[in-house]
Amino acid sequence: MAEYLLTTHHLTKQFGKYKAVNDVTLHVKKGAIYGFIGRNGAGKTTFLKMISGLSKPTSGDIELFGYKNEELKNVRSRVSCLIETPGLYGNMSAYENLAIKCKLFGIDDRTYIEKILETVGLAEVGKKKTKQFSLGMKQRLGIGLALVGEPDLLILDEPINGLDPQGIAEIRKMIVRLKEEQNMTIMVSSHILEELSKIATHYGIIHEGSLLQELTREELMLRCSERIEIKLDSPNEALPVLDRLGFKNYEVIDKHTICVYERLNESAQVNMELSKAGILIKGIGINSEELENYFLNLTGGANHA
Amino acid sequence: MLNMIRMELYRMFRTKSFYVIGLVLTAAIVFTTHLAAVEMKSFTMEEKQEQYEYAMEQQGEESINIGMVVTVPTEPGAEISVFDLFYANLKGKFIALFIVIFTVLYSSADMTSGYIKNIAGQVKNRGYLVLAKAVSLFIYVGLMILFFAGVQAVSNAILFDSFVWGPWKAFLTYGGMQILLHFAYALIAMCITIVLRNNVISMLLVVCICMNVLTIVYSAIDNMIGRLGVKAFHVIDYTISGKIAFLPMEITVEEVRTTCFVAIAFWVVTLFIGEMVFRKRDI
Repeated sequence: MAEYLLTTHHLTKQFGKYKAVNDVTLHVKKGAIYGFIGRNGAGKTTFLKMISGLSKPTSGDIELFGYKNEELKNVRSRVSCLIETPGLYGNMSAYENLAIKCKLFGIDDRTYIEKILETVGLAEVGKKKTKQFSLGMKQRLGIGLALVGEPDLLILDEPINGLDPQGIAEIRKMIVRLKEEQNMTIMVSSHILEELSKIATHYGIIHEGSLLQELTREELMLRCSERIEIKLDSPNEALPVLDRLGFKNYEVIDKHTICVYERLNESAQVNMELSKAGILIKGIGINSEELENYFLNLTGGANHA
Repeated sequence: MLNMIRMELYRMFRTKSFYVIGLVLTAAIVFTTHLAAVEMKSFTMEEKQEQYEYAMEQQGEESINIGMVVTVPTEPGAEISVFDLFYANLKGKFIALFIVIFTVLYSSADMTSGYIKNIAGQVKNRGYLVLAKAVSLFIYVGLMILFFAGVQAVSNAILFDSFVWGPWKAFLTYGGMQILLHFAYALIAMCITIVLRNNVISMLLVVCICMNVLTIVYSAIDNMIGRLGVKAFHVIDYTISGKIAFLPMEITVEEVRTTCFVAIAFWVVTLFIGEMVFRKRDI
């Protein structure tokens, strides 16, 4: 089995001249909770629909469980999704909604449905019609529907949208439980990085259809942690100086920025050594970043949010 | 595929409209049978003769009027049989109207509710979902016509002085042929619903088809073909509307053959279009 359970290669979806998803190459490891972050309209749902088999890519490939192209149909049943709002028959009960999907999977076991209702916290709803459910209950039933057939990859598109804090916490707990108890790989999209950061092990940040960054939880935390931030014209010239000073944990963030994540009390010495080496420093200081700011800065600043 | 059919059947029997339409149909049949009973009792022999002649003329005609006409084909002096009213209601597309209304609601329910998102990505071939729906509709049409026959029989037994089934063999052949034709009608409605993805327009279209609105188009085509030198050609003879309306009570082997041919041709075309559109389109 390959390292990645899901890989996309240059995946693109075009509507007329508009590219909703543009050349996205993304990797999801087995057992990960992959947080897929992007603003509204960034292309998250379109991307997830393609992964779920609800929509066809304009170009590019999807590789699932090592299968590609035509062979994908053999593993489609192992990928389940809750895309946008939960799709439920309002005049039927939660049990009946689940029973319909169970029939598709050839499952006739009543206890199977009851177990799913229990997993998503709807064991007590009885014959209540789903049109009378609260949004949180509908979301949970939507997840329950996605659990039918024990998928290996669960795709949840904005599952916390419109929920109150308690509802958000419940969904969060459920996602973590599914990963821990069933070793499920879960891809969750959201535009709220703060929420995803509580559960995700990996992140992909999408903006205007393009994937800006893929990083692990550790990498994200590192980038948001306290560091010496050096602003200068040519970061590459500064790297030998940092090496000479014995710094190991640093990173070139962009064309004008280096971040050093260790020995934060030595910023003055760094400044002096770089100056001695003839490198023009435009600014140096200790900074840290809120997760949400990190996301906003990456996707074009808070004024666009 | 079998699981898909089981899923569709499970859903169909739990759809509210399945029972509502059945109830409305029952009430409508009882009411119209009551009206027929009252009318026949009040008719003079001449009026009965006139009605009978009109019904017989309609059997042989190759054009139909816009709207819904239900004429009882009972000979003057004879008792109205279950078959007479069964024939009149099917021919007048009274039952077809109920069937296509249900078909539009049932075929679009998974799309309008969004439930389709839960399943469409997980099946090997999405087009099979359309075929499974078609199988369910075939069962629905069969059940609906059987149910209608039952309600008609009970209504006749209650509302007429004497109870007559009518000729059994002709009754069964006619019922069988009408099931095939009504199923084709349901598939047309399903195909329209899938392609248009709009309940209101789909419903409007299928009801218009039931009301023979397309006869205007058929007449135009007949005229065009007539100008090309082909005489006595009527498009309506090769349509489901025409077949349902013109199918006589006593069906010959030749009529069975052409009816089956027309019905199957419509099945194939509508299923092909519906399956292809549903398979290729994004959800």
